[in-house]
Amino acid sequence: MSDRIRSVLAIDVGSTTTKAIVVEERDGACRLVARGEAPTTVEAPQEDVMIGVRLAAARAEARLGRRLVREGRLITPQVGDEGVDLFVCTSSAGGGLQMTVAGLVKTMTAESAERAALGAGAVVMDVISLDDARMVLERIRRLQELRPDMILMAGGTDDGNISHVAAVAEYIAASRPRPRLGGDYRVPLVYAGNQRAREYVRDAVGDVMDVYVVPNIRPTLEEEDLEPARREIHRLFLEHVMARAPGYRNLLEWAKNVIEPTPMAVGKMMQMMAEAHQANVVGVDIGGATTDVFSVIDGRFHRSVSANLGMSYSTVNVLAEAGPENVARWLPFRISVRDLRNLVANKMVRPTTLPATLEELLIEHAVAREAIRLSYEHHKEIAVTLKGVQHVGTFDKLRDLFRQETLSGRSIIEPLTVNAVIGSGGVLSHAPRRSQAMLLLMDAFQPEGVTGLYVDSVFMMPHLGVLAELEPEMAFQVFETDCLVPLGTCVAPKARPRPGRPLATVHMVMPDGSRRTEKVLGGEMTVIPLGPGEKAHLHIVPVRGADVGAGPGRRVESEAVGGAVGLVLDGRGRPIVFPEREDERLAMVARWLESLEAYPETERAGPGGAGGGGR
Amino acid sequence: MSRAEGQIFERVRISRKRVIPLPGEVVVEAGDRVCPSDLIARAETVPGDPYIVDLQNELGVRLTPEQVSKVMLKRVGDRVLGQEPLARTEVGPFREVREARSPVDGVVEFISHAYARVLVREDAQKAAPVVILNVARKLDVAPALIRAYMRYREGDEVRQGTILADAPGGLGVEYCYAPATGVIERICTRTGTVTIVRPSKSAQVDAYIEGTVKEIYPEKGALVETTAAYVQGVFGLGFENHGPLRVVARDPSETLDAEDITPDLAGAVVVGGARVTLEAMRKALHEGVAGIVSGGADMEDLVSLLGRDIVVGITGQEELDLTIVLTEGFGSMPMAEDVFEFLRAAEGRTVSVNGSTQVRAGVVRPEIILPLDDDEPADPLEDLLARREAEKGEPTVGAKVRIVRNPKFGRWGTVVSMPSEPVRFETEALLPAAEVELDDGSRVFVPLANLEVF
Repeated sequence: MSDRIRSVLAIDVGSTTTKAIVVEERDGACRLVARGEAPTTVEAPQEDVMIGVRLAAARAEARLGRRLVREGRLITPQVGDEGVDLFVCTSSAGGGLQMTVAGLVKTMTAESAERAALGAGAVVMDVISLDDARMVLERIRRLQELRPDMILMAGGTDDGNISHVAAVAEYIAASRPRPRLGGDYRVPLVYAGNQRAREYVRDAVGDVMDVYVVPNIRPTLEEEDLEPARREIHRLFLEHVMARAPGYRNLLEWAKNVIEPTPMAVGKMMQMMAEAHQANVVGVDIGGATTDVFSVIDGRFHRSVSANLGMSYSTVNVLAEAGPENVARWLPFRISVRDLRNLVANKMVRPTTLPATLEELLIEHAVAREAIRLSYEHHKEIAVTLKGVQHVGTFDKLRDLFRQETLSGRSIIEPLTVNAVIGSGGVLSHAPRRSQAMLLLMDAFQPEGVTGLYVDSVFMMPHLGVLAELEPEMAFQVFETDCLVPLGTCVAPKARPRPGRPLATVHMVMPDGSRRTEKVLGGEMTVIPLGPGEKAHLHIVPVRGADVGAGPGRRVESEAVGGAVGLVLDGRGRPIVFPEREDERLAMVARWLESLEAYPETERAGPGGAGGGGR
Repeated sequence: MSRAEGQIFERVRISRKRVIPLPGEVVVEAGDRVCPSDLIARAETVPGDPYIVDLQNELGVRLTPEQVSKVMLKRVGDRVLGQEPLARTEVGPFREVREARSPVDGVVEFISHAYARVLVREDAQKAAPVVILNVARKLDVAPALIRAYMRYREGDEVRQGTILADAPGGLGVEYCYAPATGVIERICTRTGTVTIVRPSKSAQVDAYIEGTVKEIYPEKGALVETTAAYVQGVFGLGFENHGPLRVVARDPSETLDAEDITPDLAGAVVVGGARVTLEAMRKALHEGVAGIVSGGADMEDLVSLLGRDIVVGITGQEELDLTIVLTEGFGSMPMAEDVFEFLRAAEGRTVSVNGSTQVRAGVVRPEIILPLDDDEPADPLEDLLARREAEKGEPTVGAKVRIVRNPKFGRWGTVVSMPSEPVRFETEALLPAAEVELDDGSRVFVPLANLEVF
């Protein structure tokens, strides 16, 4: 930790809630010492973000027991017992950063542009390309309707076609994009395409937009370089978008001009964790309206936003997209589709209410499973190898021949190679039992092989991600000690299980040196106690055809990290298949919940359970 | 003075801007008293078709982007007449002049230098509603035989530029292109002509509420204002509607079913109780009922009524002649007593209803507007809504509250204590809560998040 920085106030301005945390050095270690929350006040009637920011800071102050803000002004640096040395901030309020991206070919340059924008924390409203099905006029009209904060344009490799790139620029110019915030503001265009075409682009667009040129995100078909575009988007986000949102000028002053889009900061923490542990990491942040999925696979970072899958406003969308049967299959009781739809719809119109009955908690968790599952599927479609690239090695070429994937990207996410899954968002962080969060993540992601599972304890990944830009060691220390709650490790052979028949034998050396052997049985789950900070060595012998990470039937040596739940041997197979008969399904789901002691024993009979609360 | 109690605002000033999207004619004047169905403004126009002129084709030369600027005689936004030159160049040793001409009267809307194409938007005012094309002459075939060459029949929709008919010609195949977008009304085998009727777009807006015209927006519409009682729902479908209130349910817990919807309810806004069935909604549509106000309805039935899933976003854009306003939520939800009694007391009076709902970002809720007979001053609705939003906070002992989540969804009560420590619920979650005494005297702990405070 830097000699200068002893204390930090970090704030995340979310779309509904503004959350403040205070991190301090105590006894040589950096710890989370206080937090506070308040409703976000960006929209009417308050229309001043600082009202919510000051209230959240005041609540953190009250818990901390010392003053941070005086007369509405942040006290910085820390002097004696007052103030903080550093203030950092993230924001996704007001819809965050809304962008349109444009490219030549939907599956090549336009897709790279979309990845760059998503990685910068933007909500991508539309992707325009020359080969999309729309007519010229429709594309222009669509650009007119959208009112993005910024447009990212890609197109062409550096020695490629210029006229098509110029055509895309002309469409953008003809649409005369208008900003959604502030009438005198010119929407910026970040141009990250064929460098030989940049003057054409400036000529075409320069009268109506401010053009910022960055290196090509696709200089050749085989290369993708998203970082310069991401950095420029972020810089313009601060200068243009944030500076015009209500009250943000003051916030920018507090933050000394360092505000990041929330998803960018969360992605930063994922990348740090992946790097520190040399691991492939997949993470999810499930919010009220959207679900973000992040992955760091072999050092490559991807982010996807499922804009209409969430736990409050868009909860009916989850039901519509997944299908009510897919939500209901996770429940240990019968519920009619009619009743299920009503319960979920009532949450949509009263999004800030909380489940007070076990039945409704189970339903919310079932919806969360499907929201994450669908978002993960969507993410796997985005995190693909580059299209238009010939794969290099002999084996790859042979495989391409059989799969005919030479000209189409394939997902880089192979579940057997994912080492860790991190979950974030209220439904996970605030689950009454940690075993509920673990089971939710296991059911939604269906990890394969040996996978560590974690949950963000209080949703402070954005705060730590932006802090990491300035104080990486401090941020990482708090991340590992206070933010990330290890749930445990899941061992799940990839196989088709037969009920009760072994899929693998797991030989364990426990923390106290004792040895233990367990079988992973088809359709069953077993929990082996392994607490936080504990590790067990595993020697896993799968049956023929079952894969635990080294290939079908091949043994694996690994390590299990303990946590709030422990080591879970998951014999349900991948993908998890539900019996056709309802009574068998009910019995099976009930067994799963019992094996992880996920929910209270009583009142799990289903609809019509006891009401009211008690001490 | 205006008062807000739950979902009811007893006296508010409501101002609504009533405008059409195209320039047209405003048919009212400031000071006019209007009823909901009175027309405020209207416009009628045939939309202009876009025509693309390929410069390289017309001029017979290849053009670079720089050369496009040099040959163009017109710029974006210039008005042009049919056959007026858009671009001109000289070709060959004898400097032969070639021109690309506009196919119609209109405006130059877009010039693509990259592709050397010009888009001319036909002048909507001059666009003829009917276009007659002599296909027989174009294809050089006998009029009696044109049906054999036509790719379309009467009643088919065609788009401008598509091939209408083709026939073998001297140098291969001769094509005849549709000169306009529209519907083929007639194929005449006597004259060899095809008649295409172009779609006309008309726009009009009515007053929606009973009130007074306060301000005119020339060629667009007017501002209509009224003093009214206002009831806010939680979810709705369908757009603006109006009609006399008819309270069909006898109490707020009843279900409105098909047999309750009778032909004499045509044009009325029907008030039900706890639930309205799919059959009742369908019958209401069939009988021409203007609106249904109910405590609740099953989401599944609303989806069946619409024929598609309801996903997040704003409702009100459905093509539904019936407006539905739910006051409590989904399922069987007894209407709040005060709302039911309020509506019952207003039976027979004309109300305006709108089912538009947007849950997120600039919340829009369905509404029922009941104009009052007097013009006593009242606070604007927006101010009262904002004040209510700002006053929302944690309840205090003695506050009147309503429970808005299971268990005890919809029950009213009074806060009798506010525990300083979070309360443990059946879910094992520890939540800030209040102890509420219900209307039947029983007491229950309820998470603060699940209470509406009044």
